[in-house]
Amino acid sequence: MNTSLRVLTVLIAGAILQSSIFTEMRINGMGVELLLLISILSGYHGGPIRGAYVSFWTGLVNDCVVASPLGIHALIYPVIAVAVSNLEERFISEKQIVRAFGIALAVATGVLLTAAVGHIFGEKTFNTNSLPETAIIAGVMTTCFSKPISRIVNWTVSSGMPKEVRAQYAGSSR
Amino acid sequence: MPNRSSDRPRVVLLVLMAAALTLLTAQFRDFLPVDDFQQGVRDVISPFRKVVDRATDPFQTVWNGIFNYEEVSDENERLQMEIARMRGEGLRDEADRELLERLLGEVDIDYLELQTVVARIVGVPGGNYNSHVVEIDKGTDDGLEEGAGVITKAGLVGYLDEVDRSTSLVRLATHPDFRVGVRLINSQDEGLARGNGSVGLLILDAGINVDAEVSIGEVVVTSGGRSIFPQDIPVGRVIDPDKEADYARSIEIDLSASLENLSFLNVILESRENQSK
Repeated sequence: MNTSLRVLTVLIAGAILQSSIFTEMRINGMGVELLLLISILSGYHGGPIRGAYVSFWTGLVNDCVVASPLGIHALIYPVIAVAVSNLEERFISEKQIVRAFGIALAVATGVLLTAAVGHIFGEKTFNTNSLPETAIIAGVMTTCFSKPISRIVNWTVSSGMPKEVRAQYAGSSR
Repeated sequence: MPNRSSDRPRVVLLVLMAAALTLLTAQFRDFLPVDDFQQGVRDVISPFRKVVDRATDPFQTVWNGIFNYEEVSDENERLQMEIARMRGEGLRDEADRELLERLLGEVDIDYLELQTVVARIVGVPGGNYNSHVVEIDKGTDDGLEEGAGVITKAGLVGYLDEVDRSTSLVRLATHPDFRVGVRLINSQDEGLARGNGSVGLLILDAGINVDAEVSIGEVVVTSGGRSIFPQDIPVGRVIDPDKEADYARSIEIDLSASLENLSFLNVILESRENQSK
């Protein structure tokens, strides 16, 4: 299976899960940002360029799933993926707890940035009083699912890369 | 090894951001293929989503039992109190209903006879941003159209924001972008009410004179005209007429339909043209 097909499969599966079980799994109305997690991990495992492409499409799929204007998530997710990719080398040798904190932070940042962009484009429900609480809870909840998703995303975006590059990008597989 | 010069990711990122902004512009300019693309994606995943929903239903029940126990418990308590209140105040409710019907009858209201489709609420859209939006189990296959009004027997609920083949999203009246033309039954003054993100409240702050006589408890209905809603659908009652306003009034309306506890909705099928005939 080539990389494009793997990415397509993961995106469809992610969209289905995000709009079904992860819509129901909420704490105080706040839930898991599965597609944002896929974006973050694609930057982590796939490097900045592949991560940016994958997360752009992930953002578009998320825009369709949550019925937000097409492009809002696609505008933010590549930025997050590239930022995570650039920071990845610093975290690669850190303990698992530090990397988990990094993922939670990245998710929370993604939620806040998306809300800010949504607000700029006139989406009033994007910026609510409970936004900081939403970002924190979504970050923590999403991080809980990061380990299995990380393996899947690693399998998805690392294919076709030379071994030494894969070792550099794919921290968890080293 | 792939080229890892520091410039290339930046160029790729800029191109992708430009693409996203182009898509956003197309969306806000009502460029139809963009909407169709979104609807197509949702239609494609919809059957798989239903299968996953059914398959994971026991897990979702356990999750709700653990993490939403308090909410379920509170709702149970609320429902028990509601039953007790309904039993104890049945006569007063009946009198209230008669009063409402009499008031609505005076202006020849027959909103209950509108042609509607009954839809069940299946949940809220995914993600963390869509408050004041609910998803229903009917779509274009059932004859629904974007912009159709949504009501219950208690009154106004919202309108259809997105309509897919088998599901639709309802923008509730409390959504900050919701607007509806309304009329005060006693004074017959008309104005524009809006949602403000608060639970169960609409704000009427446009079109009503500062010196207009508005009383607490006054019934508010839709005004019709160029609105997507037929006229005379009950909206709610005034709870704060803001009589001491100096320049612009901000009248608070308590919605007659309880939007937090909805299970079934009625989507109005009749188009505006048909209603005016």
